[in-house]
Amino acid sequence: MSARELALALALACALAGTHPASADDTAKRKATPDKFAKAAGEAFRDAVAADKAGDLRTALGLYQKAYGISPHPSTVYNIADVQRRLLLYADALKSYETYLALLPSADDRKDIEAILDALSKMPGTLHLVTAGASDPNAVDWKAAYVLVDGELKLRPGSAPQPQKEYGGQSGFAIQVPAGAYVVDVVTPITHGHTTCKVEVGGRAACRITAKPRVDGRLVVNASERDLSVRLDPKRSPITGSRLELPAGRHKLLVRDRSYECPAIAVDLPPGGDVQYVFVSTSELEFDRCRSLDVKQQRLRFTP
Amino acid sequence: MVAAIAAIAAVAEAAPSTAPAPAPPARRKPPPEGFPAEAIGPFVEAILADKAGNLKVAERRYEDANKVSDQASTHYNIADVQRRMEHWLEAIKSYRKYLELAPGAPDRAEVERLIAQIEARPGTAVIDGEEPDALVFVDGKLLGPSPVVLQVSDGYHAADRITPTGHAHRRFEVKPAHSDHLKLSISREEPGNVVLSGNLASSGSWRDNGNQYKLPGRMALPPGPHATYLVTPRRACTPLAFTAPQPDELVYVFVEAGAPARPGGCLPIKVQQTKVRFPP
Repeated sequence: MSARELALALALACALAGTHPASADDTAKRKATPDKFAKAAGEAFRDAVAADKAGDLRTALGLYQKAYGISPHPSTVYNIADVQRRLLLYADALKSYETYLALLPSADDRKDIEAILDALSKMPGTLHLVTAGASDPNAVDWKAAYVLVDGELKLRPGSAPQPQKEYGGQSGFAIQVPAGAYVVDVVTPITHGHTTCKVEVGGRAACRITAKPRVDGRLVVNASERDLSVRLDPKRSPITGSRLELPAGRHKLLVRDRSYECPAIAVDLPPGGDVQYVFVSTSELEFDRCRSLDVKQQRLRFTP
Repeated sequence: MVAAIAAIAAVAEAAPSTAPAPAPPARRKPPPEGFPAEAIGPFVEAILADKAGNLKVAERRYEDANKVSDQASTHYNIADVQRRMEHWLEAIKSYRKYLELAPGAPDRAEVERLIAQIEARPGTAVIDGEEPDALVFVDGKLLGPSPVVLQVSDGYHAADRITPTGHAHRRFEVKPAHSDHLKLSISREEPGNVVLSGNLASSGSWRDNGNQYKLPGRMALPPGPHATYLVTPRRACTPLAFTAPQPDELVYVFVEAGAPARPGGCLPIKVQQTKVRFPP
């Protein structure tokens, strides 16, 4: 057992034992019997340390969680976080480290933990973009597709999909991104599909995307969140998340952020078979007004 | 191509437009010693949501934690989230709750100072609407294309939102630390070459020299100089005089009425007119 583990185990044992300093009054001075919960938690904690030392991290995690469930203690949740980190369960580790700091606000190692939290929160995740099997009429033809993630162009037509081992060998693409929710658009000369996928810190997520066999139009519009809506006419339904046919030339897109009007976006739609792609997002806090918008526009060229 | 569109933040009293300031930093407090285990879960979820920028979720989770165990530090954190979302009145209430639950808080003076600062903030108004290509005027001044975010002094103000084919007007009151959303949508198309507006609490329409006037309102008037009275004869000390442009142009006429010299006396008025040009 390392010095830290020993210290934690001792601290836990004392804390869980429920002992109190003798008081100065004249009542009986018996030591409190460790209650059944403290005893059970202590046993689970010791077994967890043993499993951890033996390299059985899954068992160690379960036992630490058992100890914590019986009697919550900062040392236990610290060890839970530590095991989760080593099991690459980064999102869980983040929560456990935060719980440790919440339980022990004056922790000596607060700065160290905050550094770990900072590093963990920056761990990129992996989105595995996959589509339906060839038997599905809505399967995406990757070779003809532009793939955009939150408005950023990630793949151009001609990119060769790779088997995604983690997802049954389905063919697709793996893309590293910071943790968060992402809008993925696939645009081919003849169709458009989109979906929203979420990936946790250091995690993997399958992002299954399909598209109807045919969706016409030279304009594709999408947004990072439902609160942002784009319209052509204030009295008509939003066009966010769609591809639509409009005459080539300049158009004005009306944007709303919840119930707030935002500045309009000017778009120039190309003649021929090219597509103008517009993506609206915001990283601003939830102020009671139209937040600052980032508008990304891409000209997707399909004309030979 | 990446174009950043900043929400317009026009600041009243003729200050220049500014882009939104960077978000102020979080100032969180940890839970107290002995915080119940059942409250730790939502408290930690609040911190994680806050760090991820989901402040509304953070606020809800802190409130969940308070349902289990009402704590001064949690109210402080709720106030901090509300402050950063610029929900000033809620933030004041939450900071006060913090002080109520922690009367001996070591940062009491600092929190009281913060409350005083927030209470002294000028009120904010968001002026927008549905129709595209609108311009916003407040108290007779053109602030820019809709939407406009405005910080204004306390008291009553007049807002006009004008589109190529319509006009909407609202008199509104601003109180310190308050935020209002004035949705000035145009109920019906109202073309015309003159928009009449003003700071008067009352409105009215009148016929004079064969022309129909309306305050506030948009109307088609013969091009050339006009001199009429203000709703009723002798209400204003001087004529309401302005020049109407050609039918395909538009002028915005704002009537600023002062207090009468004696009770029941005529209103001294200042008339200013602005040619309206819509952005292409």
